[in-house]
Amino acid sequence: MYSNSLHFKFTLLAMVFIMAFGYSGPLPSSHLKKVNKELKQLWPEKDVKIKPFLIDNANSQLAENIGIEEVYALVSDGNELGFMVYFKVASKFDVFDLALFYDTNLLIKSMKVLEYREDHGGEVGSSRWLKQFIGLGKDDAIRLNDDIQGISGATISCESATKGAKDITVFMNKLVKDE
Amino acid sequence: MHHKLFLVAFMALLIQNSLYSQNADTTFSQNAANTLLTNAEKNRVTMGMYAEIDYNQQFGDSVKHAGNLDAHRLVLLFAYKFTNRATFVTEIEVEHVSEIYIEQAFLNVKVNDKLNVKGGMLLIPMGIINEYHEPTIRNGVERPNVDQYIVPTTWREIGLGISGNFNNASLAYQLYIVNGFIGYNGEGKFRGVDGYRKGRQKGAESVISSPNLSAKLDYYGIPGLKIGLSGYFGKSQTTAFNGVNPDDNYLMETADSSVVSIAMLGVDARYRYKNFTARGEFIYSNNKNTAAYNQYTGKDLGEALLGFYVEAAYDFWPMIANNTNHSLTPFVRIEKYNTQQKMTDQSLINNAYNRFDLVTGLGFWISPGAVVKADYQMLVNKVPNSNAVNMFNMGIGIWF
Repeated sequence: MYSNSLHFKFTLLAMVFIMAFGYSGPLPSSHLKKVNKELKQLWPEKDVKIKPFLIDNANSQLAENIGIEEVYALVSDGNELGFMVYFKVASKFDVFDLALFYDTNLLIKSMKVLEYREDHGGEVGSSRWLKQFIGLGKDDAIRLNDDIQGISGATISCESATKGAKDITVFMNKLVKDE
Repeated sequence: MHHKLFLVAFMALLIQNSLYSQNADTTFSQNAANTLLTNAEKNRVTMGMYAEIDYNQQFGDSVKHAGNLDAHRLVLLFAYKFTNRATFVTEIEVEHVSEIYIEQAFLNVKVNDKLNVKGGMLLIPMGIINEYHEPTIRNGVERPNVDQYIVPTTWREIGLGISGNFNNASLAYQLYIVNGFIGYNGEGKFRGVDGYRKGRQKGAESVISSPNLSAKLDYYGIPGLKIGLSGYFGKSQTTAFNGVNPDDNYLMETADSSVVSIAMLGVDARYRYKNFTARGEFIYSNNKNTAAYNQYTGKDLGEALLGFYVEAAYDFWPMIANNTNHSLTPFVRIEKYNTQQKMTDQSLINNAYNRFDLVTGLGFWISPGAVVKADYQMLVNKVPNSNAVNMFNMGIGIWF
């Protein structure tokens, strides 16, 4: 009976917690569509699936601090092809959602803006701008006006996205390779 | 046991919902300050500010000049996010300490990346500075004079329209129907000395007789470069038609003299490569009916206004220390502008309106949001035998 009531309380607490703070779980379906489209572009021959990748307790606070919503492993026929990180960073008045795709060496294969909410600064979603991140890894600066060129009028969003890409690349090396 | 668990969970849900609805109800009885402090509301409200406090000193000629210290602009920004798609944005401006204006106030509904629908008080997208004028994102204590005399920044009117990004093509567009300048409200508003500047209605009990069209297209497909093309078209607003019978040809024609048709075109470019930045603007505005307007109002508005500037700057801080938070940026800018670029009535030409400026100075960014600036302006006009006016300016600028 004791354990049951504890179970009760825990369930209750968990539910209240989830209702109060929302569940930052899997990708919204509109995002999932964009992610799948990008996976098809990156590996046209393969049927790539995303699988949630566990962030251990030691790293979860850091992940939250740098805007990570979820980390996924990219898997095809039982082979790991790389990783995908779904994260949020700030624009001027709001946050926007991005996805970073990595190969197994944790070099960036692609970055995509999944949803941009503000009216200004949407230039950050430009495919030509995002191309600059391809091939970069933990040894690169990934810094605005250094190896990444910004876009006038979208400076805040470009800065956030660039900082996000840097932080997350460093984080992924820690998480996956323990570096 | 299980259905008991379910019951408790269900009750928790009910309690939770009732708490939520209670919150929603009380929101309306709370004052704004309380709302800002409510945790649940925190993510919905954005506050920000930009400010510039300036010192301007004329020097270098045979007579004495007192300087000018001015808390030029203090602008408070508030944004409220109603839903994921609907946001209200406003900027409340306190100019010269005692004048209060609204710089922007609009409701934006984002349909998707390619389409925003917005309405309210909007900034007119013309050139660079009218939309991007915060002191920390431009060089020089004062705004460029082209963005004072040709584009009357901060130019904003009430209207509605659409905007969006085509990110596959690296194109952004804005298209608005807005209220225009008032050219006549018992007296003429446009003149040679400052073009359209006195005609801005700023959304304050503004008069509308003919809506105007404002549009801008920006291309950002080349890394570091942004190129803009702006257009503004329409008739000026007037009160001269008030009470006039449309069948009365004479009175209609007389009232028509209080109106000019404006067609303004702008091209702008901003470029950054590592620590080097450059930008430029070219604005040309054509006015129809100026002969009748100037005669009717006794003013001296040009048939065409023209202005352009180019500016280059280099951030030397990375050479001093590899701390990217700071920036030490000297710049140089040349400006050429004339509010009477074209004039049929030669007697109204004033060479003082045909001007050339050289501006050079230095900015030290303590952080990207806080800057200390100093510069020198040499202001020259085409009046024969006139001397250049020398200005020394200093200022601080902040933005958060």
